[in-house]
Amino acid sequence: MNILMVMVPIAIMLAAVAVYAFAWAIRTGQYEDTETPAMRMLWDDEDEQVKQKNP
Amino acid sequence: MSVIEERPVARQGVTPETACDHCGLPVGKYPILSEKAVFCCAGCEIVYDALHVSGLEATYYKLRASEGLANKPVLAISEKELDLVGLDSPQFVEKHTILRPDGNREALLFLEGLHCTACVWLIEQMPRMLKGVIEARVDYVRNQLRLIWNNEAVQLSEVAKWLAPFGYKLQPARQTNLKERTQDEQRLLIRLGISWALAGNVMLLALAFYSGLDMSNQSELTIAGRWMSLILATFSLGIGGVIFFQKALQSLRMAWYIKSLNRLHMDVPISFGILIGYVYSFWATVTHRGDVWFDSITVLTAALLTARWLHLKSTRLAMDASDQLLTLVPSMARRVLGKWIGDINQPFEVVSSELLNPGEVAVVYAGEVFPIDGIIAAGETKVNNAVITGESLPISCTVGDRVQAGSTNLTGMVHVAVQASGEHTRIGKLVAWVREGAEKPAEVIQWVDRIGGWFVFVVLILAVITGYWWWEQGVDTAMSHVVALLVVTCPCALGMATPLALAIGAGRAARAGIYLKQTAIFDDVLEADTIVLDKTGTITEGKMNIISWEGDVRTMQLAAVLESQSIHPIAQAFLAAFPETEALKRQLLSSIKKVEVFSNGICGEIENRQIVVGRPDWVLEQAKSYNAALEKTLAVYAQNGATPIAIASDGVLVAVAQVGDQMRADAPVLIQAWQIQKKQVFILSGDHPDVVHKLGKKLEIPSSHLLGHQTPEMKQVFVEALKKDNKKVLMLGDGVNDATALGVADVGIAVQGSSTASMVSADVFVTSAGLSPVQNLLVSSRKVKHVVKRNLAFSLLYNLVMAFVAMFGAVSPLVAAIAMPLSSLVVIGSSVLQKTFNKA
Repeated sequence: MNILMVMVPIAIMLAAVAVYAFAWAIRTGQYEDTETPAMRMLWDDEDEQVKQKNP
Repeated sequence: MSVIEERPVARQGVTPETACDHCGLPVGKYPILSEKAVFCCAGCEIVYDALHVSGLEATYYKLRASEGLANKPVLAISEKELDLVGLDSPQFVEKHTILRPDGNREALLFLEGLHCTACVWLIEQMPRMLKGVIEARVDYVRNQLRLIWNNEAVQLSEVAKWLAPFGYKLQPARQTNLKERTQDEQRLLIRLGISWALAGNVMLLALAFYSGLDMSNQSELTIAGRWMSLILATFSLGIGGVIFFQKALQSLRMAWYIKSLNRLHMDVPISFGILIGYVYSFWATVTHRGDVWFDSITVLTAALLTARWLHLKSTRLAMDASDQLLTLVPSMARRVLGKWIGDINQPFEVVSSELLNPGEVAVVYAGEVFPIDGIIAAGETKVNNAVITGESLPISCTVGDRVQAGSTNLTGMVHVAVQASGEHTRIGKLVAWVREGAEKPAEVIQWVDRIGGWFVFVVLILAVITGYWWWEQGVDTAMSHVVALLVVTCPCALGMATPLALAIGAGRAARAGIYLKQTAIFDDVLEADTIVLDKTGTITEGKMNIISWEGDVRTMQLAAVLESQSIHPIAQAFLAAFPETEALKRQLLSSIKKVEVFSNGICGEIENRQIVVGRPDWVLEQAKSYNAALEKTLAVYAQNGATPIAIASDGVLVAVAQVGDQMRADAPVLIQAWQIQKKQVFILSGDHPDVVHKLGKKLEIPSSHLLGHQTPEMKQVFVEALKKDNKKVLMLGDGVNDATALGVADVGIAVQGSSTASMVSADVFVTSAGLSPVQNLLVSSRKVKHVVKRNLAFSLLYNLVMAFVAMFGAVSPLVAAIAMPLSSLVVIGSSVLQKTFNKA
């Protein structure tokens, strides 16, 4: 049973971190636009090309 | 002739079918040739050059090709000077942008002209290209740009100027409550997420109880588990449940004042069930006797919050779009300095248009939108009132004529004596009126809410009977059965049934391009027995086209070149019919002389020929000879209800054309179908009655239902009169002239291409072309309604059956834990699987 005294606080801490992360994600608008980021990943590889042309 | 034919072969390998290097469409007979590339038009050339200068071309074209959009033309736009000044004004920056802690500015701006991945990429390159811009993030779905910039280093107008050559137009969004709305939605989402996390943990603990962990064995572990559940459930109620408790308390107070059971909201029995379950479980945990219901009540809270959030979300897209109305009137205006003396060159200052007071004088250049209501004090011009009145032909205005904010000043600079500005203008009042319009909930939601009181009443009676029945078995047994009854009858499915079905219906509609502002529309659409249609832009395409023409090709082309000097809608029709005009004009530039624009037409000299284009009577008056065949054709055109146009060359009538606004292809079929369904169809138009009657005749609408020369006020009165006759009116329209009538009608639908004003006042707006989405709405509303009824019937039946099972003492926490989520799942499944708004 004593293990509960350790496990419960750890669990609560983890949960607190998760809740904080969740609230942060929503407040910074991570769920606002779920379509544009999918497009963005298409062009990350192209960055270098542009930089070379316009240093 | 020879001059034109020679040009395309000026470079090897270029044929009319060659693809334009920018848009990919065939370049046609008169391409624009630059050093390395070939274009179909000047717009493409500008965008192409802009891309190459900034070194973004390779990725841009690649991304665009990957979307299969290679053929979509992207045209450069010119930013109007005054709009740009408005963007930089301290008032705008102060009011509509946010100062970030790091000293930079942040703003949410609307962006016109986004159509593919490449657009998003291009715009997000801005920080790299434009010094001072720190971050540019595009929200593709909402057409919004979130911009962070250093106001010292770069101004918004420079951002707009950078975007313009690529064909994107920055609209200063003057949204007032966009941020609050986003925050409300975010807060609810946080509560929702936490509620589900808590419910999940309580369920895990409950699993241990159900699989045999009880007070008799391992009692220490059981006690710990119960206390843990209690703590988690307390959080769940405090974070999620509190939303229902607040509403329930409000409605209890309301019911107390009015002394009516009908006023009790559905949140009352929901809160009642949750609280009873909680209090009893709390007592059971503290005293170590009886069952705990924590799992059921936490899942219930989370599920009900989900339904509520979906409902809020479903109306969001439409609300966002309505904010764009505020961009209709320019934010800045030129005010004449000092006392106005009638001098057209008097100096002026640029101020926020709201600051103009009656009696002051504003200067409005050609091509600008009037920022205020007023009377022309000096100058003359043509004014396009399409936004306000729906009239597509510009009207000539001179000293003493009234102009309105939102109209476009087409041809000349004028001085306007201000009569009203800001929210006192006609369009400002309309915006205010639209904003005040309260949201009315769907009738079936109202019905569900109204039975809340009776629900509590019936459940309480059943609870008393149960308690009395089990009393002999001991207080503990009676108590636990009563609590089981109260928890299990908590109207979870009932509370979710309607909002969920309606929200999903509205979501599916939005994906099909039909945006509903309120879910109540599903009811109203079905009840509509009278359909009122606007003509221009609703039944017709809303723009002038050359329907047909007869005569000499060359003269028609030259006429188009002449017309390109004018911005009259008929000129636009010529340009659309003869796309080569632009190229031809450049070649013949030197031979174009003495162009004069009259109210009846246009005349000028090209290739040493005197060309006259315009109204037949006016053209024939100047003609020397007659052409019987062509004149006969003109008479036929006039009978068709189209606008006949005559073209004379050197005083000889050589060609005729009919210009008109074409009917949408799907209009006749749908209108006939509605009439067969015994729906009365009316057409109200600002146009001449003859035109309306001719169109109505083709659509087989009785002539008493066809009304022309309608002002916005008349339309509104007409719809109000119909409503007084107990008709349920569904109205379709565009243009601000329909806006108030759309608002008055039981269901107002703005069709594609509508002015922003009517989109806002309408209950529904439709982004795909034609009338068929309206038919889709009519059909699908019936299906949505059916799903709602199905859900309601199921949830009432569930509550009834479970109530009896509980009265017989057969509901344990385990039974409730299975039955309650299951009932919710059935309702969710039934709502999600609805077959509505399928794309045709």
